[in-house]
Amino acid sequence: MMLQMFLCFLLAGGWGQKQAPSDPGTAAGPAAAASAQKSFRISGTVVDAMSGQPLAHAQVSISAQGVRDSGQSVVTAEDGRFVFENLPAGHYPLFARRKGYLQQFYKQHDQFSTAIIVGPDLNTEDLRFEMRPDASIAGQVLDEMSEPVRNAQVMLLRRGVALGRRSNWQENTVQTDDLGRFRFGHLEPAMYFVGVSASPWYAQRGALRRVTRNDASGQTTVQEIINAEPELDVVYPITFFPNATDISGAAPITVHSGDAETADLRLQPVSSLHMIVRSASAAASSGEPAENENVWAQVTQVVADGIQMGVQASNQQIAPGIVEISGLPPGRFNLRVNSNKNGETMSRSQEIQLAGNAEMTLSDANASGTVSGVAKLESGVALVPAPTILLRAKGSGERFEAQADQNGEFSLKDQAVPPGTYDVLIQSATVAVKSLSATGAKASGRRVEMTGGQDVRLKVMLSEGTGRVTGFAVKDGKPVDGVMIVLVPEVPEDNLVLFRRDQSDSDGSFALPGVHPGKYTVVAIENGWELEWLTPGVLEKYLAGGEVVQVTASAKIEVKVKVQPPR
Amino acid sequence: MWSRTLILLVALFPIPTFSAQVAQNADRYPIRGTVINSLTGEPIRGALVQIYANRQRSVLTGADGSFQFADVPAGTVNLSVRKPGFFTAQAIQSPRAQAYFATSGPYQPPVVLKLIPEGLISGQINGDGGEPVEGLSVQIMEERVENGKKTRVILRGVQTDEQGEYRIAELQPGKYFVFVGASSRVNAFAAPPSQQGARGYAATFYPSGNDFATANPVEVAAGQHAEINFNLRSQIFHRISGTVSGYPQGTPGINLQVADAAGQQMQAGFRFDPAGGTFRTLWLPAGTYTLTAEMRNPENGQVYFAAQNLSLTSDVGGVHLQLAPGLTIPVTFRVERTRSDSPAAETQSFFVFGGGRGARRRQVQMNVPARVALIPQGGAVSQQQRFAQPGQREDSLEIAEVPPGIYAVQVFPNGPYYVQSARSGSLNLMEQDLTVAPGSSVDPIEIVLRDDFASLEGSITLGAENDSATVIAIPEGGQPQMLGVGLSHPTSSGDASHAAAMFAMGQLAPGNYKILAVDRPDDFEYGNPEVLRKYLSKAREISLVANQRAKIELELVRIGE
Repeated sequence: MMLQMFLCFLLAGGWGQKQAPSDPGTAAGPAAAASAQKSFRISGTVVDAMSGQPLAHAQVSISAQGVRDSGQSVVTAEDGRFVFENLPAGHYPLFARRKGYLQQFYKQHDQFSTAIIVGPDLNTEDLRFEMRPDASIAGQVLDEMSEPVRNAQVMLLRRGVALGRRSNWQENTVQTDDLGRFRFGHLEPAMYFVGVSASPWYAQRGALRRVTRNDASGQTTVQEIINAEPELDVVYPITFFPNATDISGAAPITVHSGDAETADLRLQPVSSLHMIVRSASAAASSGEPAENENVWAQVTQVVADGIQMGVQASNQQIAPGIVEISGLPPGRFNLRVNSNKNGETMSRSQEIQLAGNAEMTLSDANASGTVSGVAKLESGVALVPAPTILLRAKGSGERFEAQADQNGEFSLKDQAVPPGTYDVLIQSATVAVKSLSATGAKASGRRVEMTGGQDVRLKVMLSEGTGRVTGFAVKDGKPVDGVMIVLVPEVPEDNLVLFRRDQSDSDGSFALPGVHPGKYTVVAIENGWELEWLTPGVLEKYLAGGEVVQVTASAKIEVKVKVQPPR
Repeated sequence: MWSRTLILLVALFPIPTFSAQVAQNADRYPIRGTVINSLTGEPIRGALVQIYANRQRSVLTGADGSFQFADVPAGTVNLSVRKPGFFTAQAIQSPRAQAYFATSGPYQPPVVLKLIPEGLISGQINGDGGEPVEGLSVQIMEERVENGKKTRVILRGVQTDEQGEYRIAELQPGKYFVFVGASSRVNAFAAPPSQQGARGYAATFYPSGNDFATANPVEVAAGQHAEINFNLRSQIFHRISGTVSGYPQGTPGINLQVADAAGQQMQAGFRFDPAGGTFRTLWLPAGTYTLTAEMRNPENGQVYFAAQNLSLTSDVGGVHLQLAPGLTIPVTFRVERTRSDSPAAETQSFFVFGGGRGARRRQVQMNVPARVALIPQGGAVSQQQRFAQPGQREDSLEIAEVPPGIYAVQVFPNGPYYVQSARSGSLNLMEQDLTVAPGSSVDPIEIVLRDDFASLEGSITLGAENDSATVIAIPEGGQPQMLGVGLSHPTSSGDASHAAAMFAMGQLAPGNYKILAVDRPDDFEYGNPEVLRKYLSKAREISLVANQRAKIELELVRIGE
């Protein structure tokens, strides 16, 4: 089962926050009421996942899905045993926490776990709940004088499989204390990177006063009059453990359950880089600077693919259409220059690699175009109430939203959408984007690729209603719990939003709600949690052993899926 | 009697006599110096020293703490110095603090800049069985005197880590109270037959009590590291449940909160079911609490309030919160003008929110001779200050949506007036608080202002050790009052031991006053009658009549001596 609801109220440390609404489709609905007079048990033993030893004093909690105030907790005895008695039939996520261990749901994998299904003829006794010991990474950040760096931002990146793809993501960020120390606790076993972003406390960017002169030939020159002391105009590059300024040179820290790893870092200042950026119009109109053009830049450092961090850069418009950015370390940056001229906002963005001071002109190719379109149902009717259309950038995940009107027309005119590839989504539980066509851009599936500088018009076809696929994972005719279930759409690459996943519960059952109409294959994979299922070709090997389903709006489909070993 | 709110403050900051010299010639000299630790005398390396001489210049001290600026135009320059882990005397507002100066000129000795090392409080929190407790909030509080009244301010807060440890650095020398908040995460246990129970740690003030009255301050000197550990015993926590009534159907949300006896909001995490009107808190330690509910009707903007005090010693059910609309109190003015030079009207701009859904903010200009504020006193449902605003018809002022509670009324004239009286019915608001009881009504607030104010000027003998003073004027009870700020000028006699400062106060209500000049207003709890009494014998008495311009000479009174 999927966890998001239960996670939030269990981790909050008490019962009684908002619960998931009762879902009549699950076993906890009418079926539970009918058999409420019967009573069942859940029992088991909590053990250390590493040693197999029973764990006393673990707090084990259950809560019947969709039943208000059904939460209860017990503490394990010396032999690690726990028992819940007098339970009505239902669907019970099981959760445990104990000092020194990761708090977790039963057989938890990411946002999935195996819920205990309680009812006639179901065995819910003698469960073995393996808890993984906590792990940590701690360290100290020192500067070039071997003094602690206070208030440095320390980020913990994790490498692993997320949404079917091997990638890095930011797991946590903390600040160093007065000794420059930091600590990441309660870590799951995985591969991590530690990076530090800090600015020398003594850095002087100075007020860079510059005078713009127009000589007789109409040439504009910028003369620097006052600058800060160059030896103090320094920055710390983002530094990865042990001593790299880029994640490619960083050493991964492999953390196993129970490990306490150390990652000390030392920062070395380098001269701050200065960059002068000319907007396209400032560059084109030499001799005629656009007097009323305001320019400002936003800089983020790209520390790894898809992971960006803010940079403490300072920004100064030194002439109309010309901006100076200082306080940059060498590295890879995402630069977005916004300009405002006669009330019209333009945005140009570009990824740059900086090794020294630089000047650049943002060419038209990087300019944002305006994006507008129309979103309608297949029948040609506009949706009521009018939906919100969402463009989500591939990679960065940056979002742009527009509210459609009663005719389904929407426009992102007042937002500067940089060039790139976007998933087109709709914020609705019951309506989905069925297909997409575009003028001024390339559309395929539910994705649109915008090259920039072009006005883009989207035609978004919507489909209303979702179906629900439920079933059992079986092996040799017997149900299997803890198995990864994947609902694979027909063209997987362009349709990430159509994927649905689940983990089979204690009776082998699973549920995939909110499935948009279409043809899919359901596969069940044992120990499949590390599978890079989004990589082309990986899932293909399993499709033949899966079950094909044709989902229509409001369909309820039940399938038995054969459990396949990892291939 | 001596009335409570009738205090006048004048801050005096004479300018040091040696700072005004400006380089007149083009001679240039180096400025040299050393930065040292004020406590140990050790040099501080890597400190940032900055001067401003035509432009800002910066340098880091070397390994021996020394620095040099070459070619500084002759004259006196201001220096600033910084280093993480240290404070300047100015930053900690030491009464003897002076800015750092250096003179650029021939044969000038090196300057010595002292930095005061920071203090630090750290410790470990252990719970049942000596186990470290993670995720408890630790806060550091300080007692301060603000407007003559003692208040407690939370300076910093952190959470204990997995080892139950916390650490708070960057503390100036002072007295601090260390406070551990109640567990927001509890340990649930099954309490037979089928009920749930939970244990947690109650809020604790160092050394071990559960309320501020039992707290002992931790004295942190410059450079000192105080280790403050706690050993906590868990206790059974309880929940409060009940119903809320008196709200319209379809209300998007009711804001429910629990505050402890000290008025601090608890992380109680209410669960509220709008369909049944039922609520329940998360687990709370035993204690006295105030439950409050606030709700805004989206249709007309009307705000509803309810509050309930209760003592929690076991699970409490059936608590009923009856929402009632907040009270709107009209405010009227009368200005008694006697002078020909008084303005005919004082216009003030207000931002007004129309009632109801999607209402926009707009600006309204009105002739308002004074601003009127309700300041919540202990026991008020909401701690928010409320100001008089134009009413719906925009021709009169009112204080809208006042929740039940006790309020002090403060009047700040917009023009050259003093407040002669402020009343609500028979209640004298200059001496008494205004009580807003649920379901009751309150008489309009009537304010009388006059322009025949008196003024007072004079000088203060400072002595060698002080370069500033604050004048406090304490009017005799029942008299009109207002706040006035005078200007100050140093007397440049050249002899520091006879330094004096001038002051002037305007817009004083006629009446009898006691006037005090003090050195450290930040330590003077003059709002406390018992503290004030100790100093009144040193005050000068003066009687002011309408339109009088009086003169007075004052001796500086040292607070705490």
